[in-house]
Amino acid sequence: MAFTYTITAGDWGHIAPQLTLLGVALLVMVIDTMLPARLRGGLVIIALLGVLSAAASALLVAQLGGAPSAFFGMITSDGLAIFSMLVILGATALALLIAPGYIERQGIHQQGEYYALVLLAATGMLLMSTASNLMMIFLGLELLSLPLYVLCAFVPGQQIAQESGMKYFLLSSFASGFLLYGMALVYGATGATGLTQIHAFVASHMPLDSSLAPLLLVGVVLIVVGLAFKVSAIPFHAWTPDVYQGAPTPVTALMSVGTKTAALVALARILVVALGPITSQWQPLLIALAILTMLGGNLLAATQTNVKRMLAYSSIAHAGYLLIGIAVGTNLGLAAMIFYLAAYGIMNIGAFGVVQVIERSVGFGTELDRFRGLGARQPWLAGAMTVFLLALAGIPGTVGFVAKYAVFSAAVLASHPELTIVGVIASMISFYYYLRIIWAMYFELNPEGDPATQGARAALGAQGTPPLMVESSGQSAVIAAKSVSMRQPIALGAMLSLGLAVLATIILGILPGPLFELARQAVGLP
Amino acid sequence: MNLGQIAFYVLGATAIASGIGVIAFRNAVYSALSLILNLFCLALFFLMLNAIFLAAIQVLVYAGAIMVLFLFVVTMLTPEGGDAATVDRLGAMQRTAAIGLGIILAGAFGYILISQVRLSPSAMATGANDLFTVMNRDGNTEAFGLALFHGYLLPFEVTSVILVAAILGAVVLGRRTTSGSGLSAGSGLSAGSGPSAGSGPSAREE
Amino acid sequence: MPVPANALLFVSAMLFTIGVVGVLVRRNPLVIFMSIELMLNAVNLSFMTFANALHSVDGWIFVFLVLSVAAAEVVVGLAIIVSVFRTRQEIDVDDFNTMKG
Repeated sequence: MAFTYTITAGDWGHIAPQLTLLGVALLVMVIDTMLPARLRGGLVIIALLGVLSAAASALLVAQLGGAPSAFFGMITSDGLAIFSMLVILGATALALLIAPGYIERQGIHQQGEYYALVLLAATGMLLMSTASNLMMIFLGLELLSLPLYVLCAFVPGQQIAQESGMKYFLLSSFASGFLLYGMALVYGATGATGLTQIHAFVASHMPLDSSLAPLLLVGVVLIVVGLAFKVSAIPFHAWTPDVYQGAPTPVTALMSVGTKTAALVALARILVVALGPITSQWQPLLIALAILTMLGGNLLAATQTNVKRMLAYSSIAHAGYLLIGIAVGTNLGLAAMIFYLAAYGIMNIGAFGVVQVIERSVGFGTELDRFRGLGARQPWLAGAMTVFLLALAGIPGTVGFVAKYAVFSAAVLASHPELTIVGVIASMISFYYYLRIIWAMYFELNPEGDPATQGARAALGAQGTPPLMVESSGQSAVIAAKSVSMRQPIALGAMLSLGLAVLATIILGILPGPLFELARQAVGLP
Repeated sequence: MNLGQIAFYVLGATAIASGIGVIAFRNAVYSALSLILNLFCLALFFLMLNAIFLAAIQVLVYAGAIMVLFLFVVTMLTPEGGDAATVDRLGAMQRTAAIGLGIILAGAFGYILISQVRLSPSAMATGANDLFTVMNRDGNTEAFGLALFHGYLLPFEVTSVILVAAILGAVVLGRRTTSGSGLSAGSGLSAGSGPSAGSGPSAREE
Repeated sequence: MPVPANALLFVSAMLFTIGVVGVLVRRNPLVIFMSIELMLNAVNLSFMTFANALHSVDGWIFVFLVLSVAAAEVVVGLAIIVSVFRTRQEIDVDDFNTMKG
C-alpha cells in the first residue's frame, strides 16, 4: 500500500482547514509587500477572516463525514480532531484580536511577517492535533515551533525578547530530540508509525513479553518526556516563565493555549488511543506528572510578583489539571480534558489580553504594583481581569469551575480519587495568588499617582493618544513608556477580544451543557 | 571476522569518538569539524544498510549545507585573535552530575539494546510494506521515491511548508539587524572585528 | 552484508547520550546546538536500523523528514543565535539572567 496508495481529491478535502490557514498565511505575506506602510494594520482583518474560514471549513469537514482518515492514515478528522481544531482556531482569533494595539505600541514594523508566522504556527497546531501518525505529530510540532521561536524574539532591540527566543529554541529542540528517539523506539518495537497500526499491534501482543516490553516502554517514556516539555509539565517546565515573559504578550497567549492543545491532543492520541491496551504501564508516570505539575505550578506561582510570570506559572499549574484527563485513561477523561482546553483558552487569553494592555515594554511593567488601584482607574478593564482570574481560580459561576469539576469528576469515576484530592488542594493554593491581584486592583492604592485624579478620567474609551502610541521605534519605546500616564488606552480589537472572552467565560459558566455535550460526542461517548 | 565486520567496528568506534569530540573540544570550530566526521560515519552506515539515496542526502544536506552554515557562524561570532572557545564556566559539581547522568543513561540504553531487544518478527508484518520486495523489483532509490510520492505524500508536502516558515523566520530575524534601531545594529556589526574584541567577552580572561 | 542490528542500535544510543551530555555540559549555544544535531543523527541511525531490520519503508521516510526539518531548524536557530549575539556581543547561556524568579 505504501508504494501504491493514490491520493484523491477526498484526501485534500480532509485537510481543508489546514490548507485554508496556510493559503491565508501566504496571502498575507504577498499582500504585505504591496500595501503602503500605513495600511498594513488592515492585514489583521485578512488574517482573522482566514481563521474564520478555516473554522467554517472544519465544521464543513465534520458535516460531510466520510472516511475518518486520509492520506494513508496520516490525518484523521474524527470528533476529537474537529473539536481541538475549533479550540485552536478560537484561540488564534482571540490572540490575533489583541495583537494590533500591542504591535503599534512596541514599534513592530514587520506586521505582515508577524501575522503570517502566527498563521503558520496555527497551521502546525491544527496538523499536530489532527495527526494520526507519528510522522505527522513530529512535523506538526516542528511547524508550530519554528514560527514561535521567531515570534518570541520578534520585538527588535529588546534583549529579553531575544533571550526568550533562544531559550525556547534550544530547549525545545532538545525536547524534540527525546520525542524523536521515543518515536524511533516505538517504531522499532511495533514496526509501524501509524497510530492505528500501533494500536492493533499492541492489542494483539498482550501481555507484553520481555522481548517487546523494554523497547516499547522506553520509547513511550521518551515520547512522554518530549511532549511533557511542550505542555510545560513539571519537571520539564524550566523554560516556561522566561519564555512567556520575554515573548510579545499576544504570542504568549497563543503559545500558552495553542501549543498546549496540540501537544495534549497528540499525547492523548498516542497514550489513550494507540496505547490503550497498556494503560496500566504508562498511567503511574502520567499521574506523577499531573500531581507534580499541579502542586509545583501553583506553589511557584504564589511566589511571583510579576503578573505575566505569575500567569506563566499558572499556565503550568493548569497543564497539571489538563494532564488528569489523560492520566485517568478513559474517554470521559478525554472529554473533560478538551472541555477544559476550550475553557482554559478563553480565560487565559483573556487574562493575557489584560496584561497586554497594562504592559509597557516586553516583559516589564507588569509588576503587581501596576495593578494597584486599577479598579478605580479603569473599572472595565479591572472588571474583565477579575472575571478571568476568578475563572482561572475555578470559582462557581464561571467556566473555570465547570471545567475543573468535569476533570475532577472524571478522575473520581475512573477511581483515581487521589488526583481529585491533590487537584482541590492545588486549587486552594491558587486562590491565594489570583485573589491577591484582585485585592491589589480594588483595595490598594496606586503608589505612582494620585488615584483620585486618575480615577476621574477613568473610562473605557481609547480616546486620546498617549506619547507611547506615537513613538514607534523599539529604542524609544522604553523611554516613552516612562512618561506615559498610568491609564492605558485599549485598542478596539483588544476591547472586542476581552468582551468576547468575558461573555464566554460567564455564559459557559452558567450554561456549560451544550459545549460539554459536544466534547462528549467528540470522543465518541453517547 | 570478515572485512565487513571489521569495517563496521572501525566505523562505530570512529562515530563514537567523533561524537565525544563534538562535546569535548573547547574550540567550537573543532567541534564542528568533529561533527562533520561523525555525519560521514553515519552516511557510511546508511550505505551499509542499503539506503543509498539517504546516504547521499546525508552528505549533501548535512556536511554540504548545514555544517558549512555552522562553520560560517562559528567563525563569524568568534572575536578576531581570541581563541574560538567560549570558555565553559561551569561548576565542577554540575559537570560531574551531567556526566554521571550520561553514564547512567548510556548504561541503561546499552543494557536494553544489547541484551534485551529481539526485534519481533510479527512487527515486520505490521508495517504491511515489504521494502525489500519493492527494492529488488524496482531498485533502491525508486522504492524510496514511490513511497514518498504515494503513501507519504502529505509529510513530504508539510516539510515544504516548514521550510517556508523557516525562510520567513530567517528573513524576519536577518532584516531586523540591518534596518532596525541604529544603535544595536551598529554595535552588533562591529562585534566580529578587532576593536570591540578587546572589550568583548570577559569569559576569555578566566 | 548483514549488519548486526543490536550493535548499530548501541552506537546510536551512545551517540544520543553523548548529545544529551553535551547539551547539559556545554554553555556555548553553538556547541549546544551541535549536540542537538548529534542527538537527531543518532535518532536517524536508529530509524535506519529499524527500517532495515523490519523491511519497512517508514523509517526511511522518517529519516528524510528529520533531515529536512533539521535543515529548517538550523536556519532559524542560527539566525536567532546571531541576532542574540548582535545585541549582546557575548554568547554564554549563563549570562542570560535578565529574567529572574
